[in-house]
Order: sequence, then C-alpha cells, then structure tokens
Amino acid sequence: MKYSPISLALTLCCLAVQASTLDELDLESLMAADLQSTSAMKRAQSVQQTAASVYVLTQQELAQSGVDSIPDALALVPGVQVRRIDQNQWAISIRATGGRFSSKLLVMIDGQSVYNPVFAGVFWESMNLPIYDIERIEVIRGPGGLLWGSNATHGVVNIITKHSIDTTTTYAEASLSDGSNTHLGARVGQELSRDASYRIYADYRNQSSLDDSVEGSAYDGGIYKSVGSRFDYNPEDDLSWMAQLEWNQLKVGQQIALPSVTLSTALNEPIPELYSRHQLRFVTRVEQAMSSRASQSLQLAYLKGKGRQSYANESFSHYDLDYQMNLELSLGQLDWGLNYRYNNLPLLNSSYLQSNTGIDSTEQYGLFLQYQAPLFNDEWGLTLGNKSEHNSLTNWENQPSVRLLWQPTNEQAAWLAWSKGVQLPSLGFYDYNIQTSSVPINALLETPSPELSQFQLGSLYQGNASVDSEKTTSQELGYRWSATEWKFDLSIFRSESENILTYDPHVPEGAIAEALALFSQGQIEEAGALLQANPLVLLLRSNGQLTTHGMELGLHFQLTEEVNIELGASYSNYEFDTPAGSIESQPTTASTRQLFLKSRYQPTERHSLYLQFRYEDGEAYETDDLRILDINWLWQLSPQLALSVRGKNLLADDQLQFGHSRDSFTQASYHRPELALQLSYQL
Amino acid sequence: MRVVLSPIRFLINCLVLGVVLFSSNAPCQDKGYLIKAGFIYNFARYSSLLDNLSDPHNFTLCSSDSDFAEQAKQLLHQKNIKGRSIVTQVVVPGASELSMCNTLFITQDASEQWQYWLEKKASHTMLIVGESRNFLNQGGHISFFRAGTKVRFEVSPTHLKQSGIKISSKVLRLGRVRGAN
Repeated sequence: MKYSPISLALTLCCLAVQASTLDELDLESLMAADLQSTSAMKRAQSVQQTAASVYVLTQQELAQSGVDSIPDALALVPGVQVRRIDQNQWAISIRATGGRFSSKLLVMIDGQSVYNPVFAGVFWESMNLPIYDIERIEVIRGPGGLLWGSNATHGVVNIITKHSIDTTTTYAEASLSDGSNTHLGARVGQELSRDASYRIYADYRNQSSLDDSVEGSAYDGGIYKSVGSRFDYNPEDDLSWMAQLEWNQLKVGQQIALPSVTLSTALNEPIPELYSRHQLRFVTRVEQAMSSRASQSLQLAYLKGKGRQSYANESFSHYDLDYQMNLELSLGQLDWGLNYRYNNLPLLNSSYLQSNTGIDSTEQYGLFLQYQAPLFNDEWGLTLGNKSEHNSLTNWENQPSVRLLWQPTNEQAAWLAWSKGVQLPSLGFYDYNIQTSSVPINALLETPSPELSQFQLGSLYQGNASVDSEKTTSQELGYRWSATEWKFDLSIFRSESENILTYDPHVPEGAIAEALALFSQGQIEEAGALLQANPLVLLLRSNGQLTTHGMELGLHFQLTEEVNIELGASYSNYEFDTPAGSIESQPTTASTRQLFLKSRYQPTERHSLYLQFRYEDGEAYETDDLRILDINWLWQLSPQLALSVRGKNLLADDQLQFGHSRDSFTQASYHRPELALQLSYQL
Repeated sequence: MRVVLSPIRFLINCLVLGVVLFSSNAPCQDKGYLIKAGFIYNFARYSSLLDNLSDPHNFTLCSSDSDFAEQAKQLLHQKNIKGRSIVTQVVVPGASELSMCNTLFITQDASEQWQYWLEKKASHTMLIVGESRNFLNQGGHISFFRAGTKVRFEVSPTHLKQSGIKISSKVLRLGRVRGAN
C-alpha cells in the first residue's frame, strides 16, 4: 500500500478540534443556523471564522429591500458589479468587468450549478426563483474554485431556498408599477406527515418595454412564467432527502444589431426581435449524519434548456453527480468529495454560429480534499486543500488553496489566503465560429476610396482548439471586527491571470486591395461579393495576462434600536498585458470604484423603511458614473397582509448602465425610475 | 528498494506533519447542542416562567446530559434573562435538585430514563424541552426535531396550559403546534 502523509496524520490520536460556535442568539439567527454545510468552506462555519470574503444576504434583508429578482438582490452586495443591459439581460461580476456572457462567476441554486458551459456564464433572465422562498444568498467574493470546481475564479453565488417545513403556509403577492409592469406570485405548502413537507409555487411577470435604446427605440418588454416545487423528507433525525423541480419560460423582446450575412455590406442593422427560452431544472439530495462527527451527502442534478434567437438556436442539458463527506477528526476537520458532470451541447448551426469540429458533448470529473485544523493554540486555524478535475477540453486541472485564520479574540479575525483557480475555455471559444458586429474598413486600414472605407466588413470570432484554461493565482488578506453594535470587514486582494483571452486579427488586406481595384473599375457588386467572402477574422488566443488588485470594505452598525446602517466600498483595478499584434478582450486598463450606503429604519414592528444608495464609476463599462437610489417602505397591515411601496432607481434620468457595444448583439436600453406597489398575503 | 519522494510530495508531507504536530487541543462542541441551547434561552426569555421564579438572582437551566450542560454554560455565561444570570445543572430523574430547575432539557439518549418521570410528574412551572420523537406525547412541552440541516421545534399548547406556562407568539409562530396526541 502506498504511503500517504494524510493517512498517517489520520491515524494519530488524541488531539481534539474546536468546532464552530454561534455568533447570534436571536430567534431568526437560530432558525437560519445550519448544522452542516454553507458554501464558503462546504461545511457549517460562521462568517467570522471563514478565511474568505463572504457576504450573506438574509431573508429579512431580501424582504425589507423589496427586490424582486436575483440580479436585483445581488445589487445589494458590496463588491458585486450589477449592470442592467436592458429590461431582461444583465452583466454581473465580482472583481472583474462583467459582460452579457461573463464567465468567472459560479452560480448555484441549492448546490446545483446553473452555469452554461457553451459560453461559460449564466442566463440571469432564466433565474426566476421567487424571492419570498429564498432563505439566504451567500456570496463569496474571490476565488471559490477549490471547493466548487472550475469557473469560480472571481466568485461564487449560492442561492439557498427555504426548507419546505418553513413554507407550509399559503402565500400570494401581486405588484404593479408605474411602468405597467405586473407581477403575480403564489405558493402553497403543506406538511404531509411529521417527517415530510412540500411546497408548490407559480410565478408570472409581465414587463413593459423601456423607451429608448442606444439604437433607436427599446424593445425589451417580456413575459416570464415559472412553476416549481420542493419536497423534503426526514424519516430520521440523521437522514434527510430533498427534491426540487422547476420549469420556467420567458418570451422577451430585445433590440439587436445584427450584421447582415446576405448583403455584401455587413451593415449592423438594429432590429427588434422576440427571444424565447425555457428551462427545466431538477435536483435531489440525500444527506446523512453518520455520527456526531461524520456526515455525507449525495446530490443528483439535471438542467435542460432551449433558447431561440434570430442569431442562435440552442439546446443544452447537463447532469451532475456530487458526493461529499465531512469528518470531524480528533486532529481537525476533513472534507472530501467527488463530482461528475456530463454536458450535452448539440449546436444548431445558424448563419451566425457554426461549429468547427462538431463537438456536441463534454464531461468533467474530479475530486476535492480539504483539511482544516487549529494551530499552536485556539487562535490560529489553517486550511489546506486541492481540487483536481478532468475536463474534455484541457484535461486535468488542479486548484490548490492555503488559508490561514487568526482569531486573537472572539470579536476579531484576520485571514490570509493563497489560491490557484482555473477558468475553463467555453465551448464557444474552443470550437465555434461566431459572426459578430461588423466594422468599417477604415477602422482597420486606410484606403484611397472614401466609399470603400465606409464599407462595413463582416467579422468573425474563430474558435480555437488550442485555447488553454485561464489560470489565476490570488493572494487575499482580510480582517474582521465584530462587536455587539457594529461590524467591520476588510478584504484586500491581488490576482495574476495568465492565458487570458485575446484576439489575433487577420485583416483580409489582399481581398481589400483586390476589392478596391474592382471598385475603381465600377464593378461594385463584384467588389462587395469579394469582401463578403473575406471577413475580418479574430482568431481567439489565450496569450494575454491580467493583473487585478483591489479591496472590499464594509462597516455595519446599529445606530439606534430602530436604525441600522451599512457603508461599503470596493475598488478593483485591472491591467491587461497583451502580446503585440493581439487585441485584448476588454479595455487595457480599467478600474471600478463602488460606494454603498444601506439603511434600515424600523420605527415600529409593523413598519420598515429600507434605503440603498449605490455609486459606481463608469469607466470600465463605458458609461457615465452610476448613482442608483432604491427605497422600499414595508407596512405589515396585519399578521397576514403586507403592503410595500418601492421606488427603484430614483436618480436615473435616461441612464445607460452598460456601454460595451461589441459584447453581444443586444443593444443596451436607457433606464428610468420606477415606482411599484406590492400587496402580499400569507395564510 | 529505495523510495524517492518528489520535492512537492516531500513538502506536502512536511506540511501535513507540521499541522499534526502543532495542532492544538481544544474541547469538541456539538453545533446542534449550541443551537438548542440558544433556542431554550429564547423560550425562557419569551415565556411567563419569570413571573414565578423563587430565585431572584439566577435562572437555572437543567439537563440530563453533562455535555449539553457544559456547552450551554459556555454559550450563555454572559447572557441574562431579565437580570438573572443563567446557571446550568445536570440532574437525574427524581433528584432533589430538580426543584431548582426553571427549564429542563432531556436529550435523546436519556429519553427512556426520563420517560416514567415525565409521564408521572407533578404539575409545576418548569419548562420541559426534549428531542426524542414521542416527547410531546409523553408530556413534554417543546420538542426539537431536525428539518434537513436545520433545527426546528414543535410545541404542545395543551401541556403548556396544564403547567400554567405561556409562550409568546413570537416563538410559537416559528414552531410547529401539536396536540397532545
């Protein structure tokens, strides 16, 4: 038998380990306290004892803020950049500039990844979970790749829904806004027996279009429908089974600027179109406490989606199987797990999207191992771990991590972390040729013909099977001080990434010269045909480097018994280093500064006023600086009935939040203030 | 046969052995016990128990289990209930110390031992909390149970009323309300 240092360590005896303690003893905190795992370290651990930058949105804050969607909820988290492209599409990221198809944030619902491997991102518009049944949202700012796998180099969002035992009531809500947006939601729950309970919900949303986009009128109204259920069964105290099923559908408008693929001049023509998507999500999990010091869980998840747009029809499904064991050893805490994912990704070719090699499926499998132990005395804790995963595109990837926590007192904690994360290339970058927005010839080179210079040349992102995974090495330092009336949290980070996506432009100079000759001879059509057949090719490469540094700061204090204030600030600076001849995928140097003010005022048990002001500079997104003010007044009319009045984006005045015109075909809309009234009833 | 370790593997070995050698010795805590102790603290805070206390200085939380008593003591030692310090006490069925208890927590392991006492107990104002499956049927007031990875509780209003104890709706609305059977 091969010698293993870990097995030797495990056979030594006698050293005991301190488990986590409770931070808060109020009823709400106790109801939310988890016996097993939270996402940060894949085990029960308070934020105070976690060597990572973690922020938790509680159900109380979600209710008081009046947010009605997951992206809106994430906008409450300092350090998360949330940019609304139009009424339906979002660019969301952490410690990086977000895009429509941003790829470095792993998003999960009750442990099920909803990440799309085609473009390595998330369809935020498909996340139509009812906010009233969310228990909490945990956000890890920074590398979470170790435990949750690849593609979490900048953060992890874990949405945790309520156990069905906590939703055995009938609930309904209806809201109406001055923009004619309507929303209806309802849920019914029941205890089937002492050991089993369930809930069923349905949700409908009708969103009206905004007025203007960057290319004429906006066309971004839409209808969203979803139904879902959750079932929980606890036959014994140490055994539980959970199953969830959800189906959602959306039909929304978007104003897109598609380059013509039939006309010789590939002019970007803005057209309104309807875009539809539907998705089926299923997850089931069995958890067992094998003893007071050991537990295990097995999860099976399935996600199937279909989307239809004029430039792409897509169909995908993936299966996930995850096993995990958590052990309390006399020497520390050991967590390990296995995972397998199969992605079925048949590409339905279109004029804008073709596959080079015909790959229609990928798979990933791997394991993780994490060991936590106190050192020297109870003040220090060390966490070592690694995740090794094999994938179809780049074979084996390893993500090691070392974290050190120092707690000189119960109120203070300082932590230090070093980790290596991996961002797998999406199938799109690896294999697809994607027609993208056309460019005028004069943006590429000078020609003596003014007419030809204005000609819109088609451009093509060419997938490259040689692209490698992005590898990011991060160093983080954090400090927390948590007193009775206030909390302070600071994180500082620096990361260096290699194999960043770049483009090698191949300008068809020969074809342009030939076209010029034809053009000057009056053979306009022949010149156009020649240019149509020879687009600008942007060959995808992974040879760039990116250095990011920044910080997140939070100060939370109870000013009086009625007033709670939270101040936050974050700063991220990005510097790309691109080889000569290549084009970086994002601006060379950019920075994002964010300032947050949140306040909750609860003068009586029945009334609460929630205010959030967010400032974010616009450099990285090519917009004006954003100033966003949301206010929500919640009035509990009776134990069953509640009324809320919400003012959203009150400082907006034809506000553009996203200015990267080449990020996708979708044309961003100008946003305006909105006032909404909501009535909710609970039986 | 000579075994040659790669440099990386050697470093990993040293690191792990270092962790083992310098790992500290600390008492083990059961998160479930801590959460239950927290709940019991709130049950007491939001109940009418304080109206009839004989000891003006202390609130006594008794338990059948010494581990629970120790952890509750560590968790609640700086807390008070309406000015009264919280003290913990380990008791057995029929012990004279039971007369000092304001709240009694009977753990799963001890439920069989306490069953007779619970069914035959004289009516008094002590709040009796347990975690075994049939605890409320046996005469208990509040019983903990697990819902997934969370701790929840169920309440017997009938038994509370028989003992003359009132619990605030702030607590009741969070738990499951059960009849005696």
